[in-house]
Amino acid sequence: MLKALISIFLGGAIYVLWRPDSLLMFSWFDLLGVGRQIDWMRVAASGIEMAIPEWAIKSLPQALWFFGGNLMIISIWRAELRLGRLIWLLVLWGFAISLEVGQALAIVPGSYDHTDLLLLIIFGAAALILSTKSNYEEPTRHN
Amino acid sequence: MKNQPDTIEAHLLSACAIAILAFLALGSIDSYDSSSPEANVSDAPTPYLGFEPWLAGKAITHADGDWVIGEGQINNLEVGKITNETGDELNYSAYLSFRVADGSGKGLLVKGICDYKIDKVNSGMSLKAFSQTKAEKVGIW
Repeated sequence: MLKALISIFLGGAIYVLWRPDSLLMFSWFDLLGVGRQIDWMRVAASGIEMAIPEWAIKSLPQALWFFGGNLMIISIWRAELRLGRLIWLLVLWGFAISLEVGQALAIVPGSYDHTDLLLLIIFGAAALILSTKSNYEEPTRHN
Repeated sequence: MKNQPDTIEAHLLSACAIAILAFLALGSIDSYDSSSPEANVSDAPTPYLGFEPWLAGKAITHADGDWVIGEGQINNLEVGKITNETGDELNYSAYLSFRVADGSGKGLLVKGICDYKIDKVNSGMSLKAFSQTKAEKVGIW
């Protein structure tokens, strides 16, 4: 679960520090009265923005959220409750993929990007592989 | 049967997890719509010009949450200092980030540090162009 939370936090940090402030979340920050603090964090972080590849700013955050989401679902469901885990993972994947497809079809706000979809699939698969691996390793450690 | 409460709890936690992710996804929606009429300016600049003189003689106005170049005059805006028409320095410090659109509808993001957050500028206030050397970064989305 900790890995999931760290991943979601990192994705959020990229959004807050380096994405355009026209995102809806920035109006929420203003409503919460922390807009100015966020501005200063962005100023402080702007120096290293040039060193970060474009894909890491544009596509990585949601991939990190998706990665964290997968890990969360997997950690919530115990290994013996495979059906429930499968259902919720399908809901998560369906949600994420439909957002991207919705953007491609201009149903969902935002612009479609192949890299977004590719990173979603890579990070989602990585989360599943990592958790499968740890499930196999778990009994070995106890033995 | 013994596992049933655990299963219900897991369903609830999973629903919460998905709801949190949906909330985050909602927050990441860009409110800027480059296809909106306000965002397209006939004499808008070419991208990658940065803090160029084209800003001079035009004001930055706010329309429906989007920054566009409108009518008016930009007088003096530098990193770390903004003055109004009468030369009074405004004693505010904030991050500056605004956007304009070129003729093709592409957005141009102009960022820098200034002494006043530009979305708090009153409509009657005029500001002057930046010098390009003071631009922190210009990007296109």
